[in-house]
Amino acid sequence: MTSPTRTSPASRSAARERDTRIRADAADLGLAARTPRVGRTALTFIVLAAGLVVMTIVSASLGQLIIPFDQVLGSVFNKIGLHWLDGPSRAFGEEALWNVRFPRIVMAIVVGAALGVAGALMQGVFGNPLAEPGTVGVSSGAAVGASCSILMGWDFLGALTTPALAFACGLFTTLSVYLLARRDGRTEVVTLILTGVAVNAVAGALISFCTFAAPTSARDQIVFWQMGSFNGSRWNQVALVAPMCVVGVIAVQFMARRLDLLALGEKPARHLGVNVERLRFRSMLVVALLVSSAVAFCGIIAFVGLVVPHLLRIIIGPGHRALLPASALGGALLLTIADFAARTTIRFADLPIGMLTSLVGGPFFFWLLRRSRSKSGGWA
Amino acid sequence: MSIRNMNIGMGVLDRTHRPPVPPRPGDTVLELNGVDVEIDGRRILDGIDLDIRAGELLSIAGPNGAGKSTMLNAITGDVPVTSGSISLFGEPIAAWDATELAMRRSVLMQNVDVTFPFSVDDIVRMGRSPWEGTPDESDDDMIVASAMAMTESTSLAERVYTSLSGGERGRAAFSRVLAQAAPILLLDEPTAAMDVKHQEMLMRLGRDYAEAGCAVVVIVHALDAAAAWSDRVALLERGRIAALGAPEEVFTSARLSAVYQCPIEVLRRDDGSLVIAPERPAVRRHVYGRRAFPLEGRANLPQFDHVSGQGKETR
Repeated sequence: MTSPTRTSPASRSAARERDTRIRADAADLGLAARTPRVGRTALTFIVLAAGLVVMTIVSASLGQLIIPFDQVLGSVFNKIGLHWLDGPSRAFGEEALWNVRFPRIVMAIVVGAALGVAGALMQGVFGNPLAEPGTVGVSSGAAVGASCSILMGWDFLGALTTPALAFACGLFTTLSVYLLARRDGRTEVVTLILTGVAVNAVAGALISFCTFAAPTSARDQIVFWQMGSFNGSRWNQVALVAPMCVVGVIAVQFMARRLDLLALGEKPARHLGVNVERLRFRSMLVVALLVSSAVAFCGIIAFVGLVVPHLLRIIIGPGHRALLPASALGGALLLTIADFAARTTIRFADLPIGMLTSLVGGPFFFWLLRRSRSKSGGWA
Repeated sequence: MSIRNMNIGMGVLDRTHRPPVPPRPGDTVLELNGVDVEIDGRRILDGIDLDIRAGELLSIAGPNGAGKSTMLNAITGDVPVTSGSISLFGEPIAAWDATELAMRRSVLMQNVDVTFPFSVDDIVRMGRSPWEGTPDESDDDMIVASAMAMTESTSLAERVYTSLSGGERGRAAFSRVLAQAAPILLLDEPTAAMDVKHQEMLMRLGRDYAEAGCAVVVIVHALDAAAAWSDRVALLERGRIAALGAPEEVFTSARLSAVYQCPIEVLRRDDGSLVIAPERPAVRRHVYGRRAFPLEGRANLPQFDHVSGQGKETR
């Protein structure tokens, strides 16, 4: 169909002149004017990716057993059949790298990416900067599942019982919050968040009950589960979590443009051809999948999903096509750093990572809040 | 089919969208038949019959709460009709999917608020999204640029939408709607925050859009503008159409005064155009507080000695 806006019965030369001008404008907008942001986005991606690589090497290198950077690289090269550098020279270096540190680092990357993307997705789909996976009860639901499993000492799935129950309950809680908030085929955002508050309260009570009823050792386990840790991550766990996170992170890319439209509001998005409810339902499904699998083995890690997308939006702008992958990288980088800090800040102690992210994330979020309040024009 | 149309989560491909066929001028593109809308048991629209033809600009006027926006919301499918039917290009609204509707009608709502700090260029570009994956997509840059040029918002392109003034937002949002390039244009008080120049610019563009063979429905409060730019006007009163037809027939002093419950004068200039204005009393200028503002109760306003009629301030 031709555009109905090309109308005015102007003279031929005037029309040609106008056409030239429009083409010039188009060129301006298409290329020249968009360059700064494109450059900035590319730079951000490069910095994040480089940071992630550097952090991976640093984190693999340092710890109780120090393995020099070149030996870390050498070990990795050896694994893929290149013999460029020598592997770890010290005893158990190879074992420490491949059985302890690398699975842990990869787990942090995968979980961080999942949490970052889930946060960006939630904020986009509800057009609300306060939305966070925790809001709809993924984390607390998962915690209920884990607590019950620990309290009852269930082991019908062996070592996977607690993670499996955490995953299932996280998924179940999220979807039930969504379905409870839905009415007449529509979801009001405020209703959803308030439903989340109600469900979170119930989940909190159940967790309290489990903590209260559990014997001392189980109680410790419940408490520590909720603080989150990558301690004891194994390749077989990574193998379970990674595919779900990868699928989720890729799936959201296909929603990116429609998420942009939701920033106009629900109705205008619908007027532009977005099936808002379907998009929401799928997003919730992806969020539930991402976050439930992320927390299943590692426990609750708060604030990553809230802070990472906000920070990146300030740097690269709100377009979801860049924001979603950047949030994945940013979340991964943040958690690798946090896990490194958790491991090395205090000698011979593994700090709970959820505690660290909240400790840093809380004040940071407060700063963001002040910053965006002082700017006219809402959330950056 | 674009890969973006993949049905995430279900693994099924969306059905293809039927592209619109440009209407012939004079065709009825939008038809309301006995439309009733009740919201929370209150009847907002009551038996609306209206047909909108390609090539005309139809203005909808009426007092606050007459049901203008509800009517537009019913047409867009955002408000379900209680009874009656609405059809678009000869088929009920429900027969089209969201993208097919977006290819056929663009909608400008009152106060478009944007959650995240998108630039005006981003916002206008969003208007092109229904055409993603169609051959029309290749002209996106040109269409976006010309839509912004028409509304004089090219200079705003890099500004963040949320930092704009009300009138500038109106122009940016209108550019987005133009960029959608749909044969039906539905506008809900598009001129509300605009200065006179841009009000006229917008109505002129609406006129051009209609004259090119599209249908334009616009809710306006400025009766002069409605009279000057419309082919037909519909005057709504308490959910019914009080009058429908050429502006000269509909906008009579008696009818407007009755519908708005306020004396309104309609004058006809020599060229036949209408001047519409409420009757206003002559204002006594510079009275310097000889009368109190009749707010009841204790209010922190200048106090006067009413009884003596001296107009002397007592504080």
